[in-house]
Amino acid sequence: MCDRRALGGHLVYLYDGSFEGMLTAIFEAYYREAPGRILAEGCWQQALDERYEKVETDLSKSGRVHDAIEAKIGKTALGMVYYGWLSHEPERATRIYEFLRLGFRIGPGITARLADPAVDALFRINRPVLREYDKQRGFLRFSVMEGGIYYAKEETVSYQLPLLTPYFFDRMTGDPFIIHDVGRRLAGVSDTRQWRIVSAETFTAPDMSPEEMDYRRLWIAFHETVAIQSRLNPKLQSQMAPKRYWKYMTEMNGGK
Amino acid sequence: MGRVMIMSMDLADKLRILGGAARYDSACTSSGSQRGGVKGMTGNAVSCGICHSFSADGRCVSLLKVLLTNHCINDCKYCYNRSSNDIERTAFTPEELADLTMSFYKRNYIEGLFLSSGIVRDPDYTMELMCRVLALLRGQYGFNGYIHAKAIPGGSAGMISRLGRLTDRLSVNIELPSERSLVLLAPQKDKEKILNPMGLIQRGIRDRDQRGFAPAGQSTQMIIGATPDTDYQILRLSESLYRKFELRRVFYSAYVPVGDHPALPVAGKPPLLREHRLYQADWLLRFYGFSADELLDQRRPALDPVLDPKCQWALRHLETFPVEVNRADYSVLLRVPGIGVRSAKRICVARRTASLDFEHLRKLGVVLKRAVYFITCKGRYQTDLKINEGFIYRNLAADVGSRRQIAAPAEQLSFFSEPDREDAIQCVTGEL
Repeated sequence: MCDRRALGGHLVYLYDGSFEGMLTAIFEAYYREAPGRILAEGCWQQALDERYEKVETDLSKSGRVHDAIEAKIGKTALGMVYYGWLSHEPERATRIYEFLRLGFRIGPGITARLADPAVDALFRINRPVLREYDKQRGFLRFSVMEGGIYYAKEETVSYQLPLLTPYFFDRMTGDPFIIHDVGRRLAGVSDTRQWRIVSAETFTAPDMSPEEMDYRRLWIAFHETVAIQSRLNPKLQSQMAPKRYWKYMTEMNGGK
Repeated sequence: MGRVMIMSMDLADKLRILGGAARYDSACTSSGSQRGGVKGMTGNAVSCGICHSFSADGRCVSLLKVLLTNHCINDCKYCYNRSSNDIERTAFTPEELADLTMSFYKRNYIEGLFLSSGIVRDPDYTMELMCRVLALLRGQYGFNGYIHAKAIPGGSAGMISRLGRLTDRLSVNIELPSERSLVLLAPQKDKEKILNPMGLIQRGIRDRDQRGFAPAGQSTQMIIGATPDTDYQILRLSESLYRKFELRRVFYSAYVPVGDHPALPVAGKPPLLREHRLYQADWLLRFYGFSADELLDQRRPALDPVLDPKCQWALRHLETFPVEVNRADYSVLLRVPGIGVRSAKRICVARRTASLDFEHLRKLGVVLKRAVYFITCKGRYQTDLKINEGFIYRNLAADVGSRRQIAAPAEQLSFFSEPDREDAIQCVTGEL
């Protein structure tokens, strides 16, 4: 085995993809050795001049980082770190680490330093996550299944279940639901008493309730009706509702 | 309801007729109310509102927007549902409408219900029918989502107060921007019939008790281009509505020909660009500290089709520019073309810790291609620019021109331009 350290390679921490894992890697960055990059396992390409170290997720270490961010840099910054983690951007954890390095130096004032490259970079990663949340709160479509369960499929670019599940838990109070993130094979589930996110590796959706198709047809009829013919503007329509969302939107996919 | 005959009609047909009849109302926002879910009920509300879909005309679909019935005793010439128009008439039963709302809401198709109605028998009787639907929906069906209802012109204080307690937002449509136009085209309505309910709603909101009264406030709508009223008159009216009645929103609806009364314009494209410019100017009134008299006056009563109203204003006031972004007050920054509410706020925050240059401004979201003519960073323009009105106008206009062909500015009422990219902003923001 060749010793990468001897070759002078940059250190890269690999974490398991979880929020706690990412915070553990940041803990190691402070208490062990500062890395050049922090990456989630499975989404990196080996480079010759880098050496890789796996970080074992440790809840006491991640908890300490979590509390330190909140106490020393503030809630807003903690929110930015969390939204950043939800992003699909491969370098998200590196950007978060760079943001926090500056944050621990200057404290809560960091969120005002909009023109600073480290702060700007994290804002840039946050923005599409929040935009997608905004879109998906409106575009998600539930179907009523046998037994009165509400079921929705989605394929989002960023990881939206941790935001969408509590939102719909509040909105749907009395009805159990499943939001199925098809791409990530995960599901946000509510039994009306609590919500959680579970694996959907072996999940099969229940059958549709008999009246489901009727309501889809009614919705499609309404959606067609509201368009004013002399104002047709398909370009504007797909700008506001980008086509990648159409797959699961009842009125756009013909009620499939 | 003696006049509603067709009871056996298919629900899909009713939805097509009563949804189609309500589509000319442009208010479809679900904004202004914020409340969490309640045990035993269904739904919540988010203050910024949520768009659930976009129709083929690119407008946001947020609410199930329908008429309770399209029967109407009035004969307003500009209205599709006028009594003299030969169209199929129908009505929802309260149960049908409550069930539709709940079923659509739980599938996440909509954020709530927008309920309007043709006038059956008289205004109060009509509002009584509307209240029955909403009471059923809020009570028996436990609906806690968003409801926008139309108060009927001429309605009494008692009915408006009942309606207000069941809804998030109430609106009375002005429809035509001047009394003269009302007399001509809506003989059964008059100024008093419209303004009285507005005042009643305003009082209801002010004296709001714990049971709540239209927490999302009140709005109205004006039809644009059906009458010769100018942009100046329209903006003056909006301004006074915001001041006197504390309206949350005035909506503008480009007139789509639905009648052939001799006083109405003949069929043509709806004036979408004009509608868009009015929304921009409306934004300037509400969020940018402008007054209607600053934007237009008797001698130039029409908004410019080529440049947005803020650029127009800035060009006529070059003496106030350039503005030094590192020092100028927030209210001054707001008046710079290319700087919106968000970027002005960001500038004020960011300049506390750094002296800003043009690259910073770009990062903060300033539209430099518009702003460069009006600002300096650390005392310098971005490049050597010859700052005079003609030069700036040509550059700004060339930028717009590269995106679309511009018809020569013409008299009000006659520019029916094609929908274009700029209309895209309409539904979301009016930031300039």
